[in-house]
Amino acid sequence: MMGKSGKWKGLMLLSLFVLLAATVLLVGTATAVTHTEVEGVTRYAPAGPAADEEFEVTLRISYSELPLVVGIVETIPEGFRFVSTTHPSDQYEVSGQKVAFAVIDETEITYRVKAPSSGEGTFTGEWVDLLVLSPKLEEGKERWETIADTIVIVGGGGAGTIDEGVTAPTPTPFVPAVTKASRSIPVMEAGKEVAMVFEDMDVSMIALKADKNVSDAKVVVERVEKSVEIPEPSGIGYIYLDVEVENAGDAKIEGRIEFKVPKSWIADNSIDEATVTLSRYDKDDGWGVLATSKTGEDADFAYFEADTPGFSTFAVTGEKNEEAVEAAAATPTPAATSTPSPTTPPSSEEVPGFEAIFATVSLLIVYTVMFRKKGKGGDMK
Amino acid sequence: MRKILGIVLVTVLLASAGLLAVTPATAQGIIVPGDKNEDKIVSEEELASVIIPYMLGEPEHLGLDEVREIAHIHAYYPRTITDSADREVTIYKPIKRVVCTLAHHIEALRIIKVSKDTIVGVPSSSLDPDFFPEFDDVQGIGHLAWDLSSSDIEMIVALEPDVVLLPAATGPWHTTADDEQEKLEAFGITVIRFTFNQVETIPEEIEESGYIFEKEDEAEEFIDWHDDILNSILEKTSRIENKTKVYSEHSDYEVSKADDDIIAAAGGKDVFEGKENEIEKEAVPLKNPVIILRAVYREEGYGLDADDTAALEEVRDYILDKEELKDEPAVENESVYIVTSHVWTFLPYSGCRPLIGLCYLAKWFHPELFPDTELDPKAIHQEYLTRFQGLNIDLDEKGVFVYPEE
Repeated sequence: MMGKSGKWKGLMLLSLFVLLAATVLLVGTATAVTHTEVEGVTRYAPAGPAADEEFEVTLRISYSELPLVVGIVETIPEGFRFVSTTHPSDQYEVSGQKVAFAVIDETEITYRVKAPSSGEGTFTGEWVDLLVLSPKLEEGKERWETIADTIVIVGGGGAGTIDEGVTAPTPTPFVPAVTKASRSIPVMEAGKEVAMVFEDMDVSMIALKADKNVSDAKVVVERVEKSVEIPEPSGIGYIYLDVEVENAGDAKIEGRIEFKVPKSWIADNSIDEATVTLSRYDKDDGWGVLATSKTGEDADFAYFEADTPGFSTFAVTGEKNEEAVEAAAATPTPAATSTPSPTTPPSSEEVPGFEAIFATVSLLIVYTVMFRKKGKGGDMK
Repeated sequence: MRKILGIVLVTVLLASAGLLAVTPATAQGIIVPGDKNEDKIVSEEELASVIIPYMLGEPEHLGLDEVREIAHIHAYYPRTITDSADREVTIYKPIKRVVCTLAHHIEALRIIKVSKDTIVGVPSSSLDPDFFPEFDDVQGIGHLAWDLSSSDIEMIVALEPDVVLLPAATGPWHTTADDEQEKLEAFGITVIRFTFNQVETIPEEIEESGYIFEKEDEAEEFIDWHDDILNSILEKTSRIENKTKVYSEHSDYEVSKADDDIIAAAGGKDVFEGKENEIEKEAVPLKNPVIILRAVYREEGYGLDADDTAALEEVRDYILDKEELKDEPAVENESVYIVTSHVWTFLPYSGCRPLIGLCYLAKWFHPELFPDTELDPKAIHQEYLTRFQGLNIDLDEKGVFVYPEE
């Protein structure tokens, strides 16, 4: 057993190495309570279920890191009936048309609803992040957030018509099953977001918000080829989209667009995924890059979302991953006639890194065991 | 006769009441919000059972802040640490009320920026009024952490703390806080034992404290600062082959083995390494120390004008004048240094500042290795006070802790 002074002696011999590395050792030894707020909850539901059909509603929670505790209450429109959910039975409750969910470390929940024989309805919902500690308030719902309304019209293709099979003018490696679709919006209340989903398209969701009430608007989404009068956007182009909101009068419409990009396109073009961007073309201002963030991915696609101040022509672009490009360029091509020279092991002077790192790590372990050992007394003197 | 019986009866009743007062007949236990089955854990089921009524607005549902507190406990608790007495301690909910039995505890909690409102009990004495000016209105709980009376224990229990901090190290006359721990735990109170008075144990104690008080970032900031300074000293002193021979006493010819480590870290060797308590005064000349250290307890420190070194000069002169030491190199060279309890390991009157004492030692032992441009103990002390204690003390104006400084 090493005495205390011996411990110091040993410590001092190690200190040169510990000097640089001790700080690193301490980082991350405890889990900090630094909860990142939930960013939002998005609802996905088919726009036009068939009469009396059961359909699935998905609530996806955007977040940065776990843990996660969110309360959600959904209000199912009159005439529609809650059927079931895969959520744990002790973590949801149905009360009339309301369904409350306690979401604990889950990022997606689904429930099934039965449509009436006809009619339409609006799914509404609210959520609250229960891991954000904030000053006490005598409150009710002051810190609740709303989930964008989802309008569902029963029968006949639902809230819009889907023009299936219209292919893009210029084929790209990936062509979705649907390249053009529209959605009718019977009512848009001023300041209230309305979301609609699109299946089998480049665009998977569009949310709109008008500055005044709008009736009978229509959203048309189409994959297009860039017209000649529009300049090229910066970066490597993937696709162009036209998104128009018709019959909105003089209302100013802003919104969010969620779109997907095939992972194969990203890989084939050495695209840095972090640079995938949605840009919007304005005939006066030209291309404007929209703040774009990744929302998720599956086996084939990466999903992104961007806020837009209006709707017109959009481009999805990306930048090459420079490091990958440079690495590829720097890779020497061995000459076919070259004669391999004998491999000389690097001396410790030539390559100090590995041994120094090994020694530092080893010594850090010793440092941890010895220096952090507890129980040292301190008698009154 | 009746009168006598009455007196006896009253006496017996009073004695019984006094006994009951210190008997943990009703242990407080730990009540965790949202924990319905009393296992101290908030399960997913228990959490969901408060969220859903809240979301549906059912009658008598909990408020948002209560639901969030329960969610927080579910997500982040329990938290288990090992304290400095090598005890595993589990905390089941955020600590809102803590009793400190040592000034060091308060200082440590200030390092990690625990709110003063969380500290509901403090030592009744040994709090330097210049260093802890804001704790006058906090309940005192006794005088020495190692010798709390029954009434002190009663007082602590009455404060309903979530946690009581007791020292891990032995105290005056080699007492321990084991009895205090046992008594408090009998009331169902969680006890954690930290001392925060040694250079090499403070970082881990701060790290563990940061974890249980949810102040991990604040703890990390301090540990980084502390270890940067410590390592900059060790990096140089570790290369020294001939250690400076140091005689350290805290009273005339009374030594402590607790000084061995800090002297070694500064590049010295305690000539009475491993010794404890009184030594023969004739033994000192035989060791030929080249440095003499004298640790002194001074209530004043931060309250003194910076140039008011009279009291420390007096102690130093007293040592320099000792007949039996007059031929020692330390005395001949006037290498006699006085260090006060504020920056030493002088329980129970010191604090979490032995690192500052170590900085002075390193400069005294090896001035050629530690020029002012590379190690400035006063500047380090000032940064500690301002950055980690939030104190508005200007060391150019106030404070005397060593003599001479160089």
